[in-house]
Amino acid sequence: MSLYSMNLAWLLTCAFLVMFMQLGFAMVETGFTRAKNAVHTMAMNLVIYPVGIVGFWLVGYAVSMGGVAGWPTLGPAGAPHAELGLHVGARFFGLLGGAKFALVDVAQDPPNLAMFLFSVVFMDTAATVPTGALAERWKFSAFVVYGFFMSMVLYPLYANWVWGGGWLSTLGVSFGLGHGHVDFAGSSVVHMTGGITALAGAIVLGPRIGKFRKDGTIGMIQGHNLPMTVMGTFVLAFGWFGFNAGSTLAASEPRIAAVAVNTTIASATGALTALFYVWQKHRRPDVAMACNGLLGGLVAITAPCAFVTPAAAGLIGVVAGLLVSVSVGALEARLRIDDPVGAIAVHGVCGTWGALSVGLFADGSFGEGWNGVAGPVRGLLFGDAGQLGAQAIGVLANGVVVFGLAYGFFRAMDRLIGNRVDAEIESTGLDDLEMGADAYPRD
Amino acid sequence: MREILAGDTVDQYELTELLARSGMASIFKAVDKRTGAPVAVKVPHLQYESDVAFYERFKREEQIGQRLVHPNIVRVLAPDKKSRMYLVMEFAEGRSLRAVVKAKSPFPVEEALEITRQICAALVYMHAQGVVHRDLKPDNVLVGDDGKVKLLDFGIAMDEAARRLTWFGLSPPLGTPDYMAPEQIRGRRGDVRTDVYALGTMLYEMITGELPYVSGNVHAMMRSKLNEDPRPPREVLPGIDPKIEEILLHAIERSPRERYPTAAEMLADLEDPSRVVLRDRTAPVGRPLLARLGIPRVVLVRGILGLVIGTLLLLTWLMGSAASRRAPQIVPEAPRGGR
Repeated sequence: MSLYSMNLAWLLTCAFLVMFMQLGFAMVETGFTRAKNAVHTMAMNLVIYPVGIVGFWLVGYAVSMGGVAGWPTLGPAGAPHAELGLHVGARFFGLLGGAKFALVDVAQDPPNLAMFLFSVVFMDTAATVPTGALAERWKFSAFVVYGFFMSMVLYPLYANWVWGGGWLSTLGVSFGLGHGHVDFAGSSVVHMTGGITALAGAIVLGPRIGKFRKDGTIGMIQGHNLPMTVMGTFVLAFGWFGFNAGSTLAASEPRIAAVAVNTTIASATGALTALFYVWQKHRRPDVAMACNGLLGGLVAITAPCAFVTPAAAGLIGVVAGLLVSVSVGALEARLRIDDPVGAIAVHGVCGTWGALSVGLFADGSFGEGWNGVAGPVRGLLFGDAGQLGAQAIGVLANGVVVFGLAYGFFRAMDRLIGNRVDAEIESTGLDDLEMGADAYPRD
Repeated sequence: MREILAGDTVDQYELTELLARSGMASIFKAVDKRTGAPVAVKVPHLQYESDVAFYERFKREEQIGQRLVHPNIVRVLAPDKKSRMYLVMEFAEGRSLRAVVKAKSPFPVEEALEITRQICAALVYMHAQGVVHRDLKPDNVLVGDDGKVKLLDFGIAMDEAARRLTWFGLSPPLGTPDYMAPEQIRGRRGDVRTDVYALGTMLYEMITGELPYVSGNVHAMMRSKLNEDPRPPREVLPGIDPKIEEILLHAIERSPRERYPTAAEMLADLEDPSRVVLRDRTAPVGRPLLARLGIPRVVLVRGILGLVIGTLLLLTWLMGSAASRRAPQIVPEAPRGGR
C-alpha cells in the first residue's frame, strides 16, 4: 500500500468524522433553544450542509485552495493552480485562489478531491456557528442567502490567507514573523470566523423579544432540551478527533497521537473549569456551561494541538473554560448581545485564544519548515516572540475583515429581504408560522 | 370458618360493633368476657388467613406491639388462647387528633404543646425499643376526653406500600404527604428523625391552624417540601413566641442532619421552651469544615485556579524544553509546511 493511499484514507476518514459534527451542532443548538423553534433550528442545521457544499464546490474551494500546488503527503503535485494577490515591492500578498472552480480542473486529482471533502466539512462547521447565535429569530430565506455567502466568499477568503498560501501564511517568509500565522486545524480559520460572523449577525439582528427588558433586567430564556445538548456535545467532541488529527493530512505522521491526546485533555480541563466556575459563582453545577466549556476547550486547542505538550493543552483548556464562562455573561450583561447558545463565546472568544496560544506555548518540537520557514514552530515561552506577533496579526485580520464583511452583508440583507421574522412570528414560534411545522405535536 | 361479623364471639371476646374496615382487615369494638374490659379486635379478612407472608407480618405486628408498653401507646394485649388470627388492643375512648384539629384550630399553645409532649414521650420510648413509626399523622393519634393522648398503628405493619387501617377508617390511598418528611418523598425509609419531622408538622398545624407547606397540587407541595423552606410560623401567627417557633422550625428542617437528632432532645425543648437557644436561620447551620476554616470562598477559588494554572505553566515549560531538545523528527517524509 502506498503512503499516499494510506494518507488519503486517513484524510477521508477524518472528513467523515468532521461531517458527523453537523449532527452535534444541530443537537447542541436545538437543545439550547425553545420547543417552539426546534424545527427552525434543526432546519438551519440541516440546510446549511447542502447549501455549504454546493457553494463551496462551485466557488469556495477555488477561492480558498485554488492557489495551492499540492500537498506532499497526499500525492504528487500536478493540478493547475493560481493565487491572486498584490505585489508590493519584492513581496507578494496572496488574497484569494483563482483556479479549481467547481472542481473542473481537478476532477481526476485524488489529493484535491480528498482535500475538497476535508475542507468543505470544515467550512460547514464554521458556517453552522451563526445558526446558533441567531437562532429563534432569523428569517429562513435570509439564512439561505447567508449560507451561500459564507461558503463562497467569507470563509474561503480567510482560509486562503492562512491555509491556501495567502498573506497571513507568508508573514514568516516576507516579514520574519515566526512561521507566519500558524493555525493547525482552525481555531481562527474555522471557529473564530464562525464566531465573529455570529457576532456581526447578532448585532444586526438584535436580541430576541423578551431577552433585554425595559427595566434593564435580562430575561432567562431557557433551552427546551438540555439532554439533547449534552448528547450533541459528545458528538462534537467525537468528531473533533477527525478535525484535529486529520489536519496532519497524513496517517504516516506520528504526531497524530499527540494531537488526539491534546484535544482530549483541553476539552476536559475546559469543561471542568467552566463547571467549577459557575458552580462557585451561582452554587449550582451548570450542565449547559460545562458543555460550552468542553466545546471551548476543543475550539482553543484546535490551532495549537500539534505544537504543544499535554500540560500546555491542559492550560489552554483551563483558560478557554474561564473565557467561555466569563464572556457568556459579559456578552449579555455588558454588550447586550443575545446569543441563545453561547456560540460567540465558544467559537469567537476561544477561537481567538486558541490562535494566540500557538504564539505562546508552541514548544519547538514540531512544525519543521512550516509555511516555508526553516526550524520548528516556537512560541513566546520558547523563544520566538515573532510567532506571537504573527498570531496576533492573524487574529486582528479576522476580527477586522471577517467582522467587516459579515456586518456589511447582514446590513445589506436587512435592506434586501430583511434578517428577522416579524414579532408576531417570533412570539408564536418560528416553527408554526415560519416553517409551518411542529417539532412536538401533542396529538 | 366464615367471615367474622359484629355480634360474633371469638374466644374470650364478644364483638359488639364494627369500628372500621379495610381491604385487609376489620376492627371491632369488643368486650373481654373474662374481665369485662372493652377492647378493640383487629381481624384479617378470610382470604388472608392462608397467606403466609401476611401471617408472618401480622404476627410480627403483634409481637412488637406487645413489647411496647407505654401510657401514650395503645397496648396490644395477649389473649389466653387464640383459635384464629386476630389482634387485640386496649380500647381507648376518644377522637382522632385529626377530628380535634378540625373542631378547634388553632389550638391554645399550651394545649398543643401538651399533646405534642405526650406524643413525643411515646416516640422516645418507641425509638428506644428500636421501633420507628414512619407514618405519624393526626389520624394515628387518639386524644381522650381526659386529654390523654395515645398513639396507634405504630409503624409495624412491615409492608410499607400497604394502606394502613386506623380506628377511624382507611387512610388515604397515597398516604397523605402532608406529614411526610422530605427524605421519605425522596423514597428513603427514614429513621427516628422522620418521626420528629412529622411531629413538628403536627405541632405547626395545631399552633398556627395551617400546614407549613400548602398547595392545591400534591406534587407541587411535595416538590416545595424538597426545595423550599417552610412558611415561617410568624407569618401565619404574628404573635408567636420565638422560642416555640424555633422548636417548630428545628423539628421540620428539610435536612435530617439539621433536625433534632432524637425525639428525647425535642421533648426536652418541649418541656422547657425557655431553654431553647434561638438560631440565625439565615446562615447555614453546621457548616462544613472548609467553610469553618474561614477562608473567603473567592480567595479559595482563586487560589486553586492560580495553583492549577501555575502548575500547568511549569509543566508546559519543563515538558516543552525537554520536547524541543528531542526535536529530530521521526519520519523524514512526513509533511512539512502549511496545508
